Amino acid sequence: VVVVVLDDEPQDALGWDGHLLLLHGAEPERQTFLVAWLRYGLVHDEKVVYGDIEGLIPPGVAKSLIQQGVDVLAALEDGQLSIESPHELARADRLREVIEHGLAEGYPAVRVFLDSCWADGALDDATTDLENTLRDSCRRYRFSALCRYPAGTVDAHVLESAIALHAGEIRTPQLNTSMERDRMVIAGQLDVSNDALLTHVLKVVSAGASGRLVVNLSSVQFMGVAAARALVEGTEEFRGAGGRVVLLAPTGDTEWFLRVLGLDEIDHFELSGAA
Amino acid sequence: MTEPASQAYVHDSLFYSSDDELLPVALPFVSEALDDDESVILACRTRHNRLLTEALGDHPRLQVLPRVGTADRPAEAIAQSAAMFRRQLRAGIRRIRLMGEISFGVSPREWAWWSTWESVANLAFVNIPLWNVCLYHTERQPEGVLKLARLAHPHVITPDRVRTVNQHYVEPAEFLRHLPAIGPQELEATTPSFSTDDLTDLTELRRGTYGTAVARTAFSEGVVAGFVHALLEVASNALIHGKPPVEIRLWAAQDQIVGTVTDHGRGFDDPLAGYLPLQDQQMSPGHGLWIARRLCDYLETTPDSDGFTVRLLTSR
Repeated sequence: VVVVVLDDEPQDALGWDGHLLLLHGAEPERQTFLVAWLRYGLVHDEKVVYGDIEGLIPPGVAKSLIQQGVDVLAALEDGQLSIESPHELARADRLREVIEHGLAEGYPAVRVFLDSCWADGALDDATTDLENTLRDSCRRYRFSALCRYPAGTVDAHVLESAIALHAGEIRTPQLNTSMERDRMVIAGQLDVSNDALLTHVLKVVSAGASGRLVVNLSSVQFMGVAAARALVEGTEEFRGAGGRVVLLAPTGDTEWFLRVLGLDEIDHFELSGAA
Repeated sequence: MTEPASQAYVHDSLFYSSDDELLPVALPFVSEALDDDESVILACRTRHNRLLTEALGDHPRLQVLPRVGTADRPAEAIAQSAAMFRRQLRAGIRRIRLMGEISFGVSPREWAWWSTWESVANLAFVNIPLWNVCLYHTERQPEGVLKLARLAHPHVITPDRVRTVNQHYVEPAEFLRHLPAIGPQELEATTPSFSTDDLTDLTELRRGTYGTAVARTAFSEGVVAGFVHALLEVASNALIHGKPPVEIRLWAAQDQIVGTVTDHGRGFDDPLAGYLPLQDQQMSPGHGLWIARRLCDYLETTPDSDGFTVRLLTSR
């Protein structure tokens, strides 16, 4: 039997740090991502706070962590892993206290998972304030936060607001995006399963860009026609206003594909080889 | 020979049986163009390219290329040709003359496949100021090739330099509709190397088909990756436009990869779908099939009572 390792998981390219928005489908997808995120923090000796309304780590999550070599009980006993009420963590003063206490204890970083953040898919003032607090904390401290909600349950306006609140830091099973200084990074497999989301992310990110938007494509494993269309539609308004989009460092296959489709000939698009 | 009045695409055939019949047409065709500030592309068999360039000498507006044919793919060759013509026009060339011969291969299937270049060219290059004369040696080419050539060219030039309307010409859509189908391959009678009866996850499809094909075939990874890309574009179309469930089958042997994508919708009845170069700034629907045709050797669509199947094939 010949086993072909095609590529790494797309989220590996962009990592697990920062203020991340996890968009997921069915429960197994949610659990896979959550476990990877938690495990990353625990194996890097970070303080990990699990926000759960019932005050426990779901058995499935704990079991997966143990299967992946994490001693969950020891982490709980040591205090490296703790459980907090998401309502408490949503209070800015309590969140700050948790972060500062964790860092004062000598942990290299603190990360918080807030399961209830987007549970109902709504975006009220309280949620917006919380997201802003989390984002601000990620800037001020060695701190990461994972907010999640089920994909496909909110309208486009709410989705674009959520993307903006997370500054384009999106994690999904196939599509991952990140902001690297003034550059947008796209990683993963881009096809009809995520072209609509990619369009939204590009709209939000390009709306915040001035004059020139650099999109690093070096971690794109596959790009289909639907994704190329998303690149065009998602930046249409930005380019229409005179903005320039630089598609940076596509891999050989992706570069060929983009040139064949003529993206380099579309107004205000530019293909650039150097990362 | 009367020069065509049209400044759009002009597509002629010349049936000849010797150099004495070829050169009296070919030499003035090229030299008049160069005298008239046009550019010339020669894409004939090596011997004819050499004969003509030796007679004419070097010229900055004379380009010599190898002939297209079995080593290429028709859709790819059409797209690359269109891009080359556009580059010349952007550089200020007023009109291009192309004299070409196609390497048709040895099997009726290859003849039919490469004759699609000849037919689709009538639409693909329609807005390009290009006078294209295609050469057919009446004794060296099989009758099957000559028959298809008579159907694909709107005009004929005779060896005595008379240019007339071709009464046998048929429009490209009609031409393609009557080409023999590729149909199911022998390999399809065996157990598929990869299959799914209800496609939902394109990532799994990509990984499964790529891994299987790389492991089982002798094709390069680039050829396999291209085939899988084509399969994914077709599968994406089925998910968006077709009726579920979408069934995928892949057969991979040393010298052949076959893939089928079947959905239960009505599909479409456009033999030209995916052939014509698309040049819009909106990435309109149609690009997926256009890409797919360029990444596999053969692609055909088959509607039947139970659904719609797209068959893709790459072989040695």
